[in-house]
Amino acid sequence: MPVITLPDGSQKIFERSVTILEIAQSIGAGLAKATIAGKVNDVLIDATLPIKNDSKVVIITSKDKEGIEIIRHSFAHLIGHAVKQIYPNIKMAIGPVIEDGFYYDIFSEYRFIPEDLIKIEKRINNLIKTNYDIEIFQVTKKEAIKTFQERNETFKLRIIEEIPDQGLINLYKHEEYIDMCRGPHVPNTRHLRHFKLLKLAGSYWRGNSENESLQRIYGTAWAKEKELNDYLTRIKEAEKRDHRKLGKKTFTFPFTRRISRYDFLASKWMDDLPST
Amino acid sequence: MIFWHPNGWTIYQVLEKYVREILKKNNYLEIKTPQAVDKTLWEKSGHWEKFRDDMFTTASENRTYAIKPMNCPCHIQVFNQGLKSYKDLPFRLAEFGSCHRNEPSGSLHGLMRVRNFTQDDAHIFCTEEQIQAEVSTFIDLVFEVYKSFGFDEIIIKLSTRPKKRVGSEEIWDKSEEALTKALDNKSLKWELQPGEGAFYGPKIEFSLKDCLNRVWQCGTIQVDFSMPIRLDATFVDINNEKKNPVMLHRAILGSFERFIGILIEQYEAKFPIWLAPYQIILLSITDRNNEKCLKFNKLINTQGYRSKVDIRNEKIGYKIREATIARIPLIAVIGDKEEQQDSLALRALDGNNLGIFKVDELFKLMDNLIEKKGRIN
Repeated sequence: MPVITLPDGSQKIFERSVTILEIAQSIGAGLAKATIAGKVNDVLIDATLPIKNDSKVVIITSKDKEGIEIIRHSFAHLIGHAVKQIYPNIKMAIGPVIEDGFYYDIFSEYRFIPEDLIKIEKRINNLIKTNYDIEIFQVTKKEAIKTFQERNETFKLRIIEEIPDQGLINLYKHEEYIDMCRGPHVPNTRHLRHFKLLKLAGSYWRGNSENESLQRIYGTAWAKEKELNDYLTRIKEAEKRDHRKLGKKTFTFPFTRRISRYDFLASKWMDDLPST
Repeated sequence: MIFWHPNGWTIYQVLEKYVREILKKNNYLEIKTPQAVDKTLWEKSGHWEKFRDDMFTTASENRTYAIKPMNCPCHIQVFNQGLKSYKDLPFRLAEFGSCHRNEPSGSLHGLMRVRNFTQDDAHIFCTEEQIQAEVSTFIDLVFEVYKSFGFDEIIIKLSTRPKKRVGSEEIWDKSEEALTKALDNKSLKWELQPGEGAFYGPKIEFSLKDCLNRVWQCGTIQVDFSMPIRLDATFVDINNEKKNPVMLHRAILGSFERFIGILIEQYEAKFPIWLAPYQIILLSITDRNNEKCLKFNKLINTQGYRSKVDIRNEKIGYKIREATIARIPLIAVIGDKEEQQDSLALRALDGNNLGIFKVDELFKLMDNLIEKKGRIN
């Protein structure tokens, strides 16, 4: 009989194990509809996983910072779902959340062109409109290996190798597509609406140029349409202001072609030894 | 590596001049240390062992040199020259230090990420007791400088002791408290980053927010208990005992290259008159007015302003359009009417008509605008 303590201090007692979604439902149907995930004793958890013990619970919606990050993460999976439908032979590597958005690194013989983004975007739009449930399965390492062997997802298998043997791995089922992730993810694609795929870029497995070349698809996603539009305006404005373009055009400084990375404060120089 | 062309280099020089004035007012001593420095110094500082692959090296007569990736060990060499007493502290050494770092060519980005950059670098050698006052003064400096460019929103982060660290708990307590107090005494809002400090001491980082709400980390002040010990920096304290000073690494702009990149995007290359490569352009309406244009131009340039002319045989509308595209903040038109009045018709870059100006009046206007720098209020 878990006792659930909510942020306002109120407590709810449930007969048996309970999910975030059910807790939200007990508060109100509106909240349940908006529920993306939860936080149980400060740890993020999927909305459909059972809570067995007494816990402090926070319900996460798209209004929360964590909520929007989960939305972005789920959109990364949707890239997987969509591109595998269009190009069944490609392999999915990793798809993390980044500032304001997400990306997915993909291994593919076929080279994506910018027009493909429109095609993939369309497919994602068709998928999310069906409002399908995203189901989570917690499996053993052995089972996870079997799943991805069957699907020939060799990069996923490499990731699994690095995971300790004990403990469970979260698999997320998007209809026929399966991805692996620490999670949490949104319980249904109706939470996923306002997104745009932004650009293609090259990358390497594990960021190492000696490894396989991968193709990266960048995207952005937001809770509200207005936020998405504001963001798109902002990056357009930033492009207009790009100092490399402006510098050359108006007055200042072309560069040699290979200028290298220097990130003044984020670089490792800063961490280990003084660098000013 | 950047090839600065005349216009960009003008901006760079104006910036450098400005920072130099600020340093002078705040009792920094400017120095210059060499580009290639003997390997033994980097071995002693610990950089050779950790960053050997990230340094450019060169050799001569069986000695290996590293092109300096940072200035701090060099500044300690200057500090170590001659005996220092507690009366000499705080001892502030500044350098527009050109540094090279052989970072991978992965994410190249114009001026923002380069292999050779120039820091507005300085090191303050002081006692533990002096940390707070020095940090406090530095914070004011950061705000003053950023404000001069129109950056009014500054994000401050304080990073405290990491798991792996040197120095006693006592000195960490003391210096973290000094940084905290320096911030709190100014009632500033700041964010704590527990465990994010460097192994050699806590630090404060200053980021500015640009017109697109992007955050750029630029300034920093870092306490360092380690390097003065490693490189034998000492002073004689009040009891005639030898002690190691604390070293504060600090920069306001970060690097000139990156900061100019930020400014170009912030201003959309429409620089305030203070920084603009050319502050004014003089356009002749007909060939008859060319001589007057050149005369004005000479007069303005001799006064130390940055002026140029366009006396090509082109329509005035075309010349104005070109000057606008070149983003020159003041555009002066000189025709027969203006010649007769010994004056010029002035317009701002945004097309705003400023009226007819005598040269003296123009100077007054420019002085006011230059004095304002890039401040918004």
